[in-house]
Amino acid sequence: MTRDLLVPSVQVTVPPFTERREITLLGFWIYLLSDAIIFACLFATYAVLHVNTFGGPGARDLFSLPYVLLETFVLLVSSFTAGLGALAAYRGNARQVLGWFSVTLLLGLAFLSLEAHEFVGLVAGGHGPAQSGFLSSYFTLVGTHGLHVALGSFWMLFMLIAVYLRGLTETNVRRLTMLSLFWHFLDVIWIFIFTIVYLLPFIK
Amino acid sequence: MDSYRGTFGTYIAGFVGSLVCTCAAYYLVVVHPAAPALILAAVIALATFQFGVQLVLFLHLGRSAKVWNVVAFAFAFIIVCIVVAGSLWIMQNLSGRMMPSQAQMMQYMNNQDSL
Repeated sequence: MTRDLLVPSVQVTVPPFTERREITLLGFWIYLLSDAIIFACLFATYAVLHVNTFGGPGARDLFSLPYVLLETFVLLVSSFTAGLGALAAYRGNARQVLGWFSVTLLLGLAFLSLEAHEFVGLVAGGHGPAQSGFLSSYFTLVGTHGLHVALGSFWMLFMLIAVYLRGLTETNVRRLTMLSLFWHFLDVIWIFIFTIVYLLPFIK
Repeated sequence: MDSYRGTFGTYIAGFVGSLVCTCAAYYLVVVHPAAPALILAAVIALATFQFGVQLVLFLHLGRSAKVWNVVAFAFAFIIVCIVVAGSLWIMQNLSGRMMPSQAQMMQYMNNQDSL
């Protein structure tokens, strides 16, 4: 009798996941969405705190738009080259995969250097995260994005080594797909950082 | 996301679309060709459009036969809206109920006197 209760009486009509790849990618997609919720919390924090400069400088006094535009271009081009790398992986062209993902990695490192330079400049000028609520939320939001880019860069380095050593195995292609999704996701987050944190304060 | 993988053409379109949106938003903010309220609306619209472009052309949302990606996205989108709009609403409300500063209180009392 207990057995009967455990058997579902309604036939579930969800199409089955035929490949491991599909399940893994859906799981990774759900991870990305949960990461998006973390960023939403940080954006909400920034939106609440950005007016609280505690007598210190605000966004317009501290940020340089041309510099941020350069960062944006570097990240956008890297997102594009990551996509081309993923396409090369589906075609089975290992040399192109190594090429495009190496370019992406270099652009990612360039982005990180630009951002580190910006952060070091702010802290050296006495405008570190401890100065005001605005700067705390700014460093947390932009720093969390930068941390993701840094982790993605490590992942990319390991994937380059894996593809170099073992070629485009099924596992490597699946992981490259997730890596390119992760990288595109970081560029999507940057659209909002670029607009909300950097552009909006400069509208007079 | 799964069976759909995109083509060179979709990546080019996504890249050029994002580039145009970024440059247009930058141009509007730096040059200020219109009233601030209009520029604000245009910059937000451009960011939203670029978000859609990258979501479809880079992340391939909704381009495969499986619907679970879209369902999960819709759920996360609702959560994000609740978190952002809810936080702003609560904090705005709280800020409105804070004890006013000395200057604000003087202003209030002066207004009372004149009545």
